Amino acid sequence: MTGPSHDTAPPALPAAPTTPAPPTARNVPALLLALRRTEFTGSVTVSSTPGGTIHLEQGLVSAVETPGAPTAETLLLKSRRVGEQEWASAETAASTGRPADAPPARGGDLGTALVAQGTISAAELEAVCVAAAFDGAFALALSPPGSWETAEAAPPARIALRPGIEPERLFEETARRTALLTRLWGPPGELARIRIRPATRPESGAPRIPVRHREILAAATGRRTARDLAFTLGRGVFAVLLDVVRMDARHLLHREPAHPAPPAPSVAPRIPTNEPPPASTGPLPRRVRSGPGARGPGSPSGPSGPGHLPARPERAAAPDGPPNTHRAEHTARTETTEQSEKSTP
Amino acid sequence: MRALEASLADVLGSPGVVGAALVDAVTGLTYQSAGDHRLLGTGAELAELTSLIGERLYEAGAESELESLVVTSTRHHQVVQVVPRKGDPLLLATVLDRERTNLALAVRQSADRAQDLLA
Repeated sequence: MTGPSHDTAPPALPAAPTTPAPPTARNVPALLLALRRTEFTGSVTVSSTPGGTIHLEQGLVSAVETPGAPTAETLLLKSRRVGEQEWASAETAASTGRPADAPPARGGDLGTALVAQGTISAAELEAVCVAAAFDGAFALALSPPGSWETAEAAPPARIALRPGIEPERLFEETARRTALLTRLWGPPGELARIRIRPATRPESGAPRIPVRHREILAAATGRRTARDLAFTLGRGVFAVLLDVVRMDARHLLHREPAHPAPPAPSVAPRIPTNEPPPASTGPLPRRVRSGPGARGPGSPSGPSGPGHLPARPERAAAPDGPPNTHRAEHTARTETTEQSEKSTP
Repeated sequence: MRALEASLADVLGSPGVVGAALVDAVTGLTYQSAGDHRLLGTGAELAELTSLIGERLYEAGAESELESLVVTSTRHHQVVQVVPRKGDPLLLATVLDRERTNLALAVRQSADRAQDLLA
């Protein structure tokens, strides 16, 4: 199962030098390795889309927070490992319940509080934190690279891994994940943008679908991407993507086009400048309230734009027909009223 | 936070166990490993293998979920135990020295370990 191409996938974390960080680095992995050597404690904020923050303690990655993947906090709460109330009481315990001689608010002690109050076992919490950090790194690698900045005085993550993860391990795992999805499906960045919904299966006699996949089907509305599903279900983005790939292979899913077909109704101004609206070319429906015979000679004249446009200002300047001026005020300048204005003179 | 390391050290202390690894059953991420775990292959391979077998079992009509996977070789036993939990399950994989192990007992022990690994 070990593919022959072991060296083909370089670490795919964001990479683009715009602001040279204190240790000049070519990309984020290089930066993290340099910070590992100097045992840097602080944070690296990557500003791509969605971007994120990599928390470091002694050069080791203690947490990765990005809007692109659920943090440990989201995983714990959404998967119902930790209830809202237990969370709140751990928060107060972490902020107030420390001994007086303890170092002031180191941050990341929320996890300790959760374990101390018996909400979650230390092993379970550690597993969730490790999973969240790797998933966050993977999510960062999905988007095109951006710039970054380092901050030494940055507050640590609320739930931090101590000791953290060796940056190198993070890159290797991220590269493996990217390579695996590429092999199974295609570009992971593209896969992550797909919105899915359950495939319509008329022959649903007794579809044998594992529970995990059934949960995804239940949550897939056609508007959610794998990332959205991960947040909803309290699972990792990579885990959901893998399941999506497997389910797709079994034809359980229907992929929505990347851009939903009917675009939102335009809210652009109808009459942008002094120019007449282009809607005046032939085939639009006309309002003929002022009588059935009032259909003017305007309709057959200009089938297309250029010949038609110059005639337009005249019509707009002649709203003298008594019934139409009245109506135009009422219907607030819509296109249909203009059409009816035109038809009378 | 070295709870996982401690858990796995416990597992390694069991009679006959020469290596152990704790792996995410879905992503294949290795959370922790101890002893001579190379015989188990990578976490990714373990996850792929178990999910393949699990899915095929399911498709073939098995009513229950995969619980463990036992591979015997001339020198070692490998026991891969599914550790159910809230969220995606984990895999506790152990390599046992065949000379020193009663397989039935080892499987039983592995199941017990899975119960209190994260408790």
